[in-house]
Amino acid sequence: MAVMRVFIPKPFRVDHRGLELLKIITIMKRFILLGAWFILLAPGAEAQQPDIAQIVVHYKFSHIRDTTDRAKPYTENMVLLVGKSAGVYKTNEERRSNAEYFQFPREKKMVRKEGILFSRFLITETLPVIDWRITHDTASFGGLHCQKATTHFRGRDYTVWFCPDLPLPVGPWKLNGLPGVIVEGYDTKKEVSFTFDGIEKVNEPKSIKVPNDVSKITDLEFVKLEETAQKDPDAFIRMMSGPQADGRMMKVDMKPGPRPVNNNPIELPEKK
Amino acid sequence: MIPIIRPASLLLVCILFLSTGRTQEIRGRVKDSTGSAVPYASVNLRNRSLDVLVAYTTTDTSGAYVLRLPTGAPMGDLYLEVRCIGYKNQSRAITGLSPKIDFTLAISDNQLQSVVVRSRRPMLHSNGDTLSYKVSDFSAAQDRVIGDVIKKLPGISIASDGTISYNNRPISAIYIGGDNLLDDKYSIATNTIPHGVVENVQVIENHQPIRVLQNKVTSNDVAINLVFKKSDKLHLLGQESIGAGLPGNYDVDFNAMAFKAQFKAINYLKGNNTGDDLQRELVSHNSAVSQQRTGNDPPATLLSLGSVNNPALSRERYFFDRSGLMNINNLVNLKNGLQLRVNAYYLHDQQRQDYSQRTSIYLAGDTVQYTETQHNRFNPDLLHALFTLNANNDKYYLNNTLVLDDSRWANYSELNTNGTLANQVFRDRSRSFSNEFDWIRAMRSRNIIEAYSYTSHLAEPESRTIGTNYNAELFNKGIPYAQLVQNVNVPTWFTNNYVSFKIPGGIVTQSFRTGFSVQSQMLTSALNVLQSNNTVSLESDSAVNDVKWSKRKLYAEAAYDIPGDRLKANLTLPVTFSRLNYSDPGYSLNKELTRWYFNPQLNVRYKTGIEKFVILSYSYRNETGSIQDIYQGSILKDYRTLYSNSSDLTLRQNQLAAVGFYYRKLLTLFFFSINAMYNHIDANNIASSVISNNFQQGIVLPYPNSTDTWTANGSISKYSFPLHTTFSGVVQWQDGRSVQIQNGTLLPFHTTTATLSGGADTKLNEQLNFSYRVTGIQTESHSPATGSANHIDQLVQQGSIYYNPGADLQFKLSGEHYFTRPQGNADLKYFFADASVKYRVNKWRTDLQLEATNFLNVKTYDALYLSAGTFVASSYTLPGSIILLKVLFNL
Repeated sequence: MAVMRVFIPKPFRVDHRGLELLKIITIMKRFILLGAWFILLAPGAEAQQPDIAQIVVHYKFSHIRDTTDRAKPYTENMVLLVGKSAGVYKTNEERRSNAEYFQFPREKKMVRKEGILFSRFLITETLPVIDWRITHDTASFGGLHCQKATTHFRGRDYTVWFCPDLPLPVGPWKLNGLPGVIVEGYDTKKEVSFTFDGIEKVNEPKSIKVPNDVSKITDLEFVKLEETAQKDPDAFIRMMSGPQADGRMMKVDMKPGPRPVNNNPIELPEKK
Repeated sequence: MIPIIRPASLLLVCILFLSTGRTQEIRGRVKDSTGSAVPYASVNLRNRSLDVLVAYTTTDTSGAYVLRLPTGAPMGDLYLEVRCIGYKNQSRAITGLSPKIDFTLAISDNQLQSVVVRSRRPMLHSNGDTLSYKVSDFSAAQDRVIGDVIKKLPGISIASDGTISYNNRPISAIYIGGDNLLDDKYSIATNTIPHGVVENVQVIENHQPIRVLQNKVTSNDVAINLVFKKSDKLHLLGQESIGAGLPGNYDVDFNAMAFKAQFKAINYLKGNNTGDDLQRELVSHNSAVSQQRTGNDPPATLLSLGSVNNPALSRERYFFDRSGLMNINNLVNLKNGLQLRVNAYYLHDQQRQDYSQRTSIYLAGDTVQYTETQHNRFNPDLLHALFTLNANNDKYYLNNTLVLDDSRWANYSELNTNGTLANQVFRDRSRSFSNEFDWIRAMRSRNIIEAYSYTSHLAEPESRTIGTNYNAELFNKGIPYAQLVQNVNVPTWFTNNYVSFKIPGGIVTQSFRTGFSVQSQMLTSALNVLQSNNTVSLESDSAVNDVKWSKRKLYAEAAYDIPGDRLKANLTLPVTFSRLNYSDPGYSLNKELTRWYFNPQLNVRYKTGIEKFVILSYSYRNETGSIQDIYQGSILKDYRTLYSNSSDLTLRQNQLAAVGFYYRKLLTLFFFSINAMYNHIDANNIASSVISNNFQQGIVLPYPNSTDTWTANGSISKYSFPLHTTFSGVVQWQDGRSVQIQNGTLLPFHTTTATLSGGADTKLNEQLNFSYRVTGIQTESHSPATGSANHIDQLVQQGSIYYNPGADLQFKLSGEHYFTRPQGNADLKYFFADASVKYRVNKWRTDLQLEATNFLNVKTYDALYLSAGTFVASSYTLPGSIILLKVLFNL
């Protein structure tokens, strides 16, 4: 039984013309699929050898986004699919958040799949190089023998646990580079945490593959697009859909709703 | 020698790495069995004994790797390991000076999936000798204090007297946030600290609390440290409870606690008459260890109201009390590194005991029987104060502890023995002080010097009166009299002082120690008869003692410690010159004993694997008797034991050999241990008793004799992930052979005891929990000479069900079943049941608890005791059911 669900991002409220808008967007997506826009095309990554996921690590992701209300962090169930040479970290809830992080340690490459409103983008970057300090603490997570490592990364001090018996240097989010899968991680203030929530074998083959039907952009372009979408969603959607056949811009009407507070992003500016 | 050579070669490797003075590198290539390069393989530098990864790198596209050794890499056995998905893991030792190590990997199937077992928490976390249990993984809604959680932790058990063992080895102390607040009186912590404020329970093996001695002098101690939650370190905590109930019962508990870095405190006021024995919280769990350290062996209380056994029930089932306890434990860490501590308590109690007893003593060809009933009251007033000044850092250790005690007991007994009525009053006041000073300093040469001094004084005047005409034939030539008064006092001075010098080497630390100790005592006693006309006379010429005793020792000792990772060993070789004088002019007693003693001791602990080790130990101790073994005048120790000594001082040679194997596997939360112990004691004389129908007269006779005891025990503990249950089991077997002299005959005795116990603690889910425990004991005693034998089987079962339908409501139902099958007697079966319900009133932030204890209202208990040749049948009055309503709130 397949249930089709329409997902509407929280920050925006669709007005009474919402359904119409969705139709437009579906058309727009198809438009994009046809490769009808070139404006933002970035030098894309070469096609990946699809890797098959062998195991899945489950995490409870928790993030205190509003430091004035620490008792209510943002939480989401996440998974890390681990293959023989690559990993992908994504949501385990139905289309809750859009970001997916592909890590290709051999190519020293990370591909992020990000979404803004109804558009999807791929951003290819080099895999962040993290300077880990390995400690002698060990623990067992789900029957796996793990060891502790610490680092300072993107403005926070992290403690993580990695499993040398799963010798692939991948982990949740952008954390990577240890000689084993990172099964748990948190920053010392416990504002961002990827808490171990189980591990299991994958019985049905699932490939770890960067989708090739999504527009590829650079991180800088992505940041600009995000800004645009936040300030003026109408303009963003118009921009995404491109000129209509009759030369007019598509007319959409979206109003920004009250945005949830995020005064505490995961990545913090480094203090000088 | 192998264990010594191995650390030596490791040391060499480490020195070679470090000696070059620049960053060392290991290079090499990784290829597969076909000869092609294996790129992107993990190359890990690991430490074998710690089982941790120390450094790592990956191979490049040509399969080559360069691994930089971290500067200051820890000493230990390092090896290289290569892991790559699709290949079998391979490890190679790092040998010699050629840090070029190549690997050829065998291709394997997908090993990624094979390591995965689906399971979640709980998990244990280990770092070297430290093991951490996360409290929230094991705690359940019904738990109140941290002791409730500790007893459920896999690998840890709490005995009925509160002694905590980790993998069957008793712990030395519980540290409170790293600070030693309570020494070995740790029941104060387990019974008071709420579990919610504790983040982790850490078990520290090989715990050496003195920092100057760390990694130099071995310690086999296991300590527990409680790590507090950050938020609970900031403020004062208080958990208060007030309970009142029927029939006329009360139970109150007010406490205030602090677990800050600078200030730690556990202060409380408790009182009850519901059978909760507050003295159990004041137990020193390692008094034998501290007695061995100080060398002080204070005289025991001599008199009593009569042999009083306690029923083999949980104490609260039979205990009649009316007790109050104020307990103060405060510790301050000053900025200059000094630590000040005060521990003090005052306990007052009025205890009652009603029992009757029938004793049978089986002799060759005869059986002697006594009957007695007693209504006893015990009124202790115990005052204790301890002051400690401590400094503990890498350079020096300073500790001074002053202990003051004043214990008063006023005990009363209405006695009926073999039809004779007698009232007894026993007053006992013991006052003591002791001061222990210890100073240890590391010198520039890394050598360590130590100065130690201990001084104590104890006086304990005891006085017991027995009422009118008790056994007038024996005590007053058949003439009626008013009272029989026995007085005893054994004032004792003791001092022990030494200096020591330790030379830490690469592998062995040598210690030399020399010192002296002096014990100076008197024993004065008199058994007087208060005649009907109020004149006082000695019961007989031999009913008085005036003994002077002095024991001087001069000793020198060499000790060797190997504090290695894999091998830890300690050999102590003390030589003692001892001179003993004792005299009592009344009996023309004036003796001197001059002896040399050699009391060697060896402890070895060898790690046979990452999570397993063996322990071997042997000790030989010469023990001399005490002043209580040489007094020649009679002392009426209890109303039917008149005791005197007629031979020389008892000299004993005590040998103890033990071997043990300890295993744990943290991944699966599995703990296992097995031990065997042999104890052989040779003595030059023997305690003997002449038994008549009303009386037992003890004397000591010069028959050389020996006692042999074999003990074997094993323990197992396992957490089952699918069942959310900690299973534990203990088995113990003891076989003892000794001789006794009764009525002039030498009787061999043979006693065998087997104990088997098991338990399960389940946290089925947040709503439902079970716990169950069963203990079976089989005791068999017989004397081959007389052919008499006795056999008793006991089975005790305890079970509890907890049901928490919501966050605000908790139900508990528990039961205890005692089954006894004595040989030739009918089975005894006792069942006690308790129930309670707790409701949280959120608006008041208060819990209401209604308890019904022993609601089946069992009011008497009959017990049977069997010791060598003696059979005792006792009957006790029990408190019956108690209903109590408690209000619990936090401050």
